[in-house]
Amino acid sequence: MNKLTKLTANSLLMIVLFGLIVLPISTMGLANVTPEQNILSTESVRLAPEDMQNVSLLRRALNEAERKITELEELLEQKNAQIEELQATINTKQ
Amino acid sequence: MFSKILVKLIDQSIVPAILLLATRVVSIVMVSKYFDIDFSFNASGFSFTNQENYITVNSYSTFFMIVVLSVGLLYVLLKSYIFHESHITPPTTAKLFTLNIPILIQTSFDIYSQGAIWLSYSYLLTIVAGIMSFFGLLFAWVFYVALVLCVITSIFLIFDIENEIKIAKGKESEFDEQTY
Repeated sequence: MNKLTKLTANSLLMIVLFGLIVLPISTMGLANVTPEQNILSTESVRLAPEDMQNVSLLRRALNEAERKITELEELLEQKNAQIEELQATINTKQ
Repeated sequence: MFSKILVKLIDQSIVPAILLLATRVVSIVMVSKYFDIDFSFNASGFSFTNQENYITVNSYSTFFMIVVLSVGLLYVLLKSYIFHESHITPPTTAKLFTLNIPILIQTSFDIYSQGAIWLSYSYLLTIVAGIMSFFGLLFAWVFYVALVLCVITSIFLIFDIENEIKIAKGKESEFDEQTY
């Protein structure tokens, strides 16, 4: 029992010593470069509230623009159809 | 219950540990300020946005750690060569007592336990510097400086230990002669 206590105490001392020796050297890993994925990934990007508002405004504007593009495409199709009709009328009259 | 050597080693390792830790942190901040490098401090430590900046700061900071280690090792070597209890000269002893610093005169147990601790820091630093240098995270010259320091101090400490063994053997033979 006495031997076991001595062994445990000395093992603990060795662990403390190891920690004391390794700790200052481990600070060499204290400096690092910001990982690239942190800059690129959207998850790590934290936006300020005003920027978030801008983002939602931009998203709304984008949706509006997409809707308008669809309307214009429909209008273009109608006009093309009218042109074709007119072309056909001209051809028959000629 | 506790091993005397282990307690002594722990006692001797506290000061260099704090000193090296403080050197690393302070030098990172100082070098960054000197080179006008931006950094952020978070849970993972000091983060640099640029690889080049990181290498510069890391190298110079490690170099400062080596400088602190060399000062510590020089102090140990000075004590082991000049103020060693076993072979200190009488005039030096008298001078130290006059200057009221007899604390500098130390036994082999004190000096070598201190030397072992400082040398282990030096070896560890050299190994880590070597690995970092190999992977291009540190200027190669920093590793070479650490290696040179490590080799020179080891050699000088070994010379002193050899000297100490000779003195101890001489004393033993003196006792043997007295017995006969």
